[in-house]
Amino acid sequence: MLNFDSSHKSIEGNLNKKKGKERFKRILAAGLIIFNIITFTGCAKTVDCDIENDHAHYYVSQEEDIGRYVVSEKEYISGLDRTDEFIYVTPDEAELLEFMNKKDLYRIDENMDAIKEIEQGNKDFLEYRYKYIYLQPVPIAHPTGKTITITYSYIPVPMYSWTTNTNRNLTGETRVCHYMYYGYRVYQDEKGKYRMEKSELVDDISELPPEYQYISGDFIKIVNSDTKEELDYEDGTENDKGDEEVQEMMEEYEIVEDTNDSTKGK
Amino acid sequence: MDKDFITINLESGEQKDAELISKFSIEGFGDYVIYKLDGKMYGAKYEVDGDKTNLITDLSEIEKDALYEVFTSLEVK
Repeated sequence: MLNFDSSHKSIEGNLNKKKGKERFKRILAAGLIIFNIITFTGCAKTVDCDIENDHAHYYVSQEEDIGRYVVSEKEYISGLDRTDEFIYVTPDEAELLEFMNKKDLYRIDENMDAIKEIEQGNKDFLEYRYKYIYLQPVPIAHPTGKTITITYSYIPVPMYSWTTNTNRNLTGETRVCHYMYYGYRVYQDEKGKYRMEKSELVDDISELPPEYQYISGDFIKIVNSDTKEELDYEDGTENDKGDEEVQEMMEEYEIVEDTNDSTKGK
Repeated sequence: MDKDFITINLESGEQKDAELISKFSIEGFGDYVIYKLDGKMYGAKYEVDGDKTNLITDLSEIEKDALYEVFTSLEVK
């Protein structure tokens, strides 16, 4: 929360002489960022296992109850926890499971209940178009001897995006956001190497053609209900060349970036 | 990083120390400052007058939006 208090009349001294903190942070416009959580297996313990023949254990996500068989004895792998449930596998089957694990694929038929539950939770929703101010950074170099300090001015640029928050500066335009899904077909090429092919988007996983038997960990897309196009949240600006200008300036002055207050030359 | 402090002169004549969070300029508008006083975050336009810096808080909506965007980008807790 930022406040504006008219009882604050002045600042003692000349603020421009104050070193201050000229911020280099670029202002990021609103948008969706989806982070994939990757759990590395390097630190995972290996679980003792008495099963002698080639086998794969069932690994499952505790949160979503989605899982797959993996030829491994690690206690967890790729965010999935090992269970004692296992199947015996041939070398060919082991190769397919390795491909699935590498590509983060899950068999649809083994996970249909969890997929249905996820789908049932994904209801269409409304988004509102709103106007906001993007501050386009304009770098200004201040050379002093061998030291270059870069400060930024900001040019306010009106931009538009979409939100579910009705308290923003809305334009009156709305859109219905709709969840869709896709799967993968896994096949072997002429050299016997496993390949995967993505399906078209469908409203329900059960609508996939039968050869598409897999989903990836990220199998959901939210689209505009009218256009069926993936949602865009950022209009961007054609004139946003801030990064290029900074790069050119840094090359010109042989600048080493200092993320604190200044940027210093060699 | 060391904190920078400024002294705010209040209308009552009282002076209070505030933490200088950021100062920046918006082309065509002027210079702005964001500071932290008594645990709250404040924004204002400023104009230097000799050895004094006047604060202006009667800002247009576009200036407030701009300040808010900067404030948000700073991720100041």
